[in-house]
This record gives sequence, structure tokens and C-alpha cells, in this order.
Amino acid sequence: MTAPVLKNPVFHAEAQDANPVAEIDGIMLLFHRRSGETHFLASPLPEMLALLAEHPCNADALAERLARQLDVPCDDEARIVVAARLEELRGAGLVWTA
Amino acid sequence: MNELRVRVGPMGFRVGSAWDAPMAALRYLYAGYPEPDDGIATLTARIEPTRPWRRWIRPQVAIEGDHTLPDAVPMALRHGLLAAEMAMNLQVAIGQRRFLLLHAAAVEKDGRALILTGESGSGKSTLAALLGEHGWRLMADEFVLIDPDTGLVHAFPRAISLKNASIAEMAKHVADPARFGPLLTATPKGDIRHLRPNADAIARMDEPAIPALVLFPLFGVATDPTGIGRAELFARLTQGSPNYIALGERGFATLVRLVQTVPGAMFGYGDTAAALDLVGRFWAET
Repeated sequence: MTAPVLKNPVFHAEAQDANPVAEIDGIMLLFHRRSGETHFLASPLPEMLALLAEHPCNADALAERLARQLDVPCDDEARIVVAARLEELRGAGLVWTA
Repeated sequence: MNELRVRVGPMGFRVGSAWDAPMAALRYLYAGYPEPDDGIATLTARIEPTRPWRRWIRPQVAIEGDHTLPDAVPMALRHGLLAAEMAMNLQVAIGQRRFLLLHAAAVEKDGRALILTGESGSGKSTLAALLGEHGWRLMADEFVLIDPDTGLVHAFPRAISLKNASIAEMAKHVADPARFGPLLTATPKGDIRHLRPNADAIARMDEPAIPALVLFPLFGVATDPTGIGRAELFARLTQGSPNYIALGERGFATLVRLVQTVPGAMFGYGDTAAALDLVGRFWAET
């Protein structure tokens, strides 16, 4: 039996202080305690994690919040980029869907 | 069982073998080194016959110890010294958790350490060995030890493994031929000859140093020196660390501190004189 595919799933991230991080040359280095992996996160990934930690939401809502924060238009391109980055973060275990 | 107990910096070794010859070579190479504190060796390495009868018939040695690699390739007994050195490296790389290990060489001047790192064949060992004969103290050849509590580099002056052309090069700079081990020809890494660090490096093996500069030399074509961004430096150093992952969060914090305080640069060089000159100029600006 396969898990049901959620439409428009809500993404979650750990609290901002859950993992040690360091800002180096504009890149966030994050040590993920659960996996023991070190991740190099360039913008907008740190911003996406912060927004999801503050308040879980689906990909479209995250695109809107991120666009507002970065002061850029929330168009199709923004939504595509956010959806793609979310999948990468999910693959790395840094975000998950409930 | 033929056995050698020796301390190199903070690590006590007990190396054993069923054969006398590699142990005699090892004992010669580590002449003048202290014994482990209180006689306690924390790392054990052994080189043994691959099968019991192999001790007498076309002998081969296998690397063993506290930790073993399942696919470690047995070596010819005439390379037993190399096998013993590799066995010691393996125990350090897998067994110890006190220090963050960088696959690098290090030399010290005025209490500050220059770390030389890069791929195999980059010439880091040769450069460190040369600097060790020209006013610097050799701290490490294979593994640089970083203390997670203090960020200091601890000395680990093992015998230096010289390969191929660097054997003749170093012979020009080392006055005392007794510091060289036997020439091991046609090993899996080509010709190898070990060099015992000089008396100063051995006598001061308990003096740590503050890391000051990380250089990536690359032997081959001379290129202009270029700086390395701190994030890239972090990535390169993790790739060359045998125990970064094993140390977990402590390794992360240790390396973050290192790259936040120590600059990195790379350069290509065609001959050792040019490399020594470049290192001197980098150091003057650090």
C-alpha cells in the first residue's frame, strides 16, 4: 500500500535554534543534528527555512510570503523556484510534509 | 610478538608484527621518540601474515589493529614498513575522537601554524619536509590535529613519507643520512622512503600552535596565487578530513572556528625553490 499523495501539502521545518548554523561569505552552513549532515544553503533557502519554522504552510503560500519578504513579485517563476527548492530541502530532510 | 611502543604527539601507539624485519625498520625510524605516557598505548596496529603459512611462503602482510578495513589489500613483506605506517594511519583515522583530523601537513614558526593541504601528489609533504629543514618546525606530515576545545593545532610529527622524485630532492637538504629509512621500490604508490623529522620537531612535539594560514599547493604548472573563500575552504577541509563526520557537531564547530579565523589560498608551482619563496611571501602578509 502506498502513502496517499497530498495535494498542496503543508511544509514544516525545525525551529531556528534546533541546529547549529554559521553564516560564512553569505552562505549558511547548517549542521543537521538529526542526520549528522552539513548543508551549504544559499539564499533563498535560509529564508524559506526561517519562514516555515515560524509558520508551516504550502508551497504557494510560502512563495507569497518569501516574495513579500524579499520585495519581489510573486509570479509563476517565483512559485516554480520555491516548489523546486522545497523538494530539494525535503530530499535533504530539512523540511517535511505532515 | 615483536612490538614497538611509541608516542607521537598526543597519541600512544603499540605496533606489532609476526615479523622482525619491518619492526626493526620501524624501530630505526622512530629512534628518539618517547614511549607512551604511563606505558599506555591508545592505538594498536598490527601487520600479520594473510594466512598462517604466508609467514614463510611468498610472505604477504595484512593490516590489522583495533580497526580494520574489509578490503585492505595485502602487501608484499618487503613493503612491511609501509604496511606498518599505513596501519598506524588507519588506527588514527578511524580510532581517535579527541581531535579533528585534517589530511594535511603543518609547520610552525613563532607559535603559529601553516597548514598545507591538497590532493595526493600536490607536493604538500615535500614542501612541509623542506620547510622543516629551513627554519620552520615540522608539526605534521599526514594528519593535522585540531583541538575542538581550543582550536589549536597539535603536533603529530610522524616519519615523513617521501615519494618518487621528492626522495632525491630531500636528500639534498638533509645533512644526516641516518634520518632516512630504507628505500621501498615499486610499492602501490611508487618508490617510497621515510624521513625521520629532525630533533627539534621531535623534542617539541608537545607544543601546540595557533593556526594562521591554510595553503593548497599544487605541483605542476606555476599559477598566480588566489584566495579561497571561507565557505569553499570549509568544504575542501571537510572533504580531506577522515573524521569530520564521526565528530558530528564538535567537528562542525571546530571547522567553523578555523575558517572564520584563518585565511586560505592556493597556488601552483613548478619547482620547490619557487614554492618556498611563495610560502615565505604568504607568511609575511599573514
